[in-house]
Amino acid sequence: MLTPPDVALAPLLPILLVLAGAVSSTVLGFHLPRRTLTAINLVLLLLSAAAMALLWSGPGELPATAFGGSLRADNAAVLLGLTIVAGSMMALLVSLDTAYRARLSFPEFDAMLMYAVTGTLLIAFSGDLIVMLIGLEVMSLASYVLATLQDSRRAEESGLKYFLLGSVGSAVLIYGLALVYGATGSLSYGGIAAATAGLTPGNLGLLVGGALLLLAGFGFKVALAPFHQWTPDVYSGAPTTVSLFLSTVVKVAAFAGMLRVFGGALQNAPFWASALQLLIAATLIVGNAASLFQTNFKRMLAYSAVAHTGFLAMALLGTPGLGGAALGYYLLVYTLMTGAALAIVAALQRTEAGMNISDLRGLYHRHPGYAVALAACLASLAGLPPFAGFFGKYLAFQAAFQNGYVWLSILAVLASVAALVYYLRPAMLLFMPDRTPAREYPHGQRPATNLTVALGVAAITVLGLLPNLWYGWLADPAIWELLAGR
Amino acid sequence: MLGIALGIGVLAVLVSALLGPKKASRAKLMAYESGNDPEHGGVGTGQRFPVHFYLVAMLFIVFDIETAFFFPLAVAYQKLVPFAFWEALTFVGLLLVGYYYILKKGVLEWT
Repeated sequence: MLTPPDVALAPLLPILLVLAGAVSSTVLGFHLPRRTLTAINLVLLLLSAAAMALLWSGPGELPATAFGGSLRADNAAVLLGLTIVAGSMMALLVSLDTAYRARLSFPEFDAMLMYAVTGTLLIAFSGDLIVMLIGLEVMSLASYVLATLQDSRRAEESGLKYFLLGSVGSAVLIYGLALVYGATGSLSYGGIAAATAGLTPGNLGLLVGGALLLLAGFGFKVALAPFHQWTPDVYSGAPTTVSLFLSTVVKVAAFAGMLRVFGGALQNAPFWASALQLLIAATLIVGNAASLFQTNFKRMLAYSAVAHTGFLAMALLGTPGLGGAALGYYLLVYTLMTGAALAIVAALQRTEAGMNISDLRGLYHRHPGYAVALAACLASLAGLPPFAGFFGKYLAFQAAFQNGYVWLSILAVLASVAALVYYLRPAMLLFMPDRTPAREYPHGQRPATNLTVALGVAAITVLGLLPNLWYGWLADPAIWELLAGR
Repeated sequence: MLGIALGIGVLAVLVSALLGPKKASRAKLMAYESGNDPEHGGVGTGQRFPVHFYLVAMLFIVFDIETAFFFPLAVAYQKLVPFAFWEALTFVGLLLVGYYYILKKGVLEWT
């Protein structure tokens, strides 16, 4: 019997607003200048954020759903969605100043970015595996185009690598999804979570296989260690504005998917956590070790993004209540500090390859504002106390530690000590005396980039001093224990 | 029933093979590569050929998928009346956005 699905507009509205931005950029791009399009898109993102904030459900309220629970606008979705919107706005603002110089100033840039954001929001709002997969594919396909959009060999290489490895990741993920469906007979997160309890041994084997394939697929998307090979090449080959988007928004969305699938649907499934801890250990070692040896600053940030994937994924090992809150907090902080650091790179670089670390010497005497902001970002990325990065790392370690992953927590602490070396070396160079001519791109007013950097640095400072401004919203364990719904 | 269906199929092939006039030409004897010459300047021979080939192929797939979506929709339409209408309208609307885009980009202008 066919029954039409229930279409509720409220939980769809944040996604539809972003989609409207994408569609209008596609159509109006022939008639309006790109800056106007970007302004429209920024407004639509703000409206989308407002629509999400209105979806916040207080204690005792049931979250809004649509399509029979396939789309869940619960509090977790709202919090992750707001993080995604923050990262997207940073990318758009920075592109206002740098897209022209990066030969990216087409309406297609805005359109593809907004299509990707549509996909990321679908992942955050997903209530079953199919919606998650559609969101992931929309996001990935648009991201491949973004990485290739600039007309240069580097961007082509970056885009092709991203496309090939991303498609492999998607294929693995879909295989895992099929096995999970075969084992549990359900595609919705709630159905899978309910079915994992009473499985026959044969089906349990299928479920474990599916969960491991899903883990590998997500590993490709978030860049966990054996699957991280594409990350440095793609992030450093793509134009810096695009790298900013890929390393913040796309990663947040992939983690949102992981949180939904592993923290929600598969939270009682066996074995994936043991595999995940090995991947995290490998990621921490590889990411941090490789960052130590980079000479290019943008490439170092790319490897630092890999290292941070390890720290972020540790939160997934915690109990759903604690781990979800830790991940939610860390994702926003990670987005803000990485976004601000890459915004500074985008503003100051001479070419899209970024600058060398040695070029940062004496930046304080040429651009004092940028130098101080960059030092703050680096300190936060390293996890030094006054900044929010410290609290994010602390929460992630705590989540893993309390759930019994002691050796991994010790490894992570050691890794973050090693990370101090490569974060503080450029931070130190910034303030050294230097009389050689400036190595930065000399021209241009950059009001939008300055705004982004200022907001990002202010946010990581404030969130470091008063973490409850954001963590207070996340702290309720009920939000994260109901990721799969009832 | 099956016999008649099979018979008609076999008969049509047989009759055209026995009675049809046979005029071989170069184009007819070529290996079928979707209209490209596989030996002299086609795909894989290292020579240039119009990139339009791919664009047309991709456009074909897009509109082919559109019809593939519409057949099941048409079958189920009566049972899903208000929902299916708006759903189809949304789908076609989004497809039109893409159509407008390629039209303005000049993908459909030959030569």
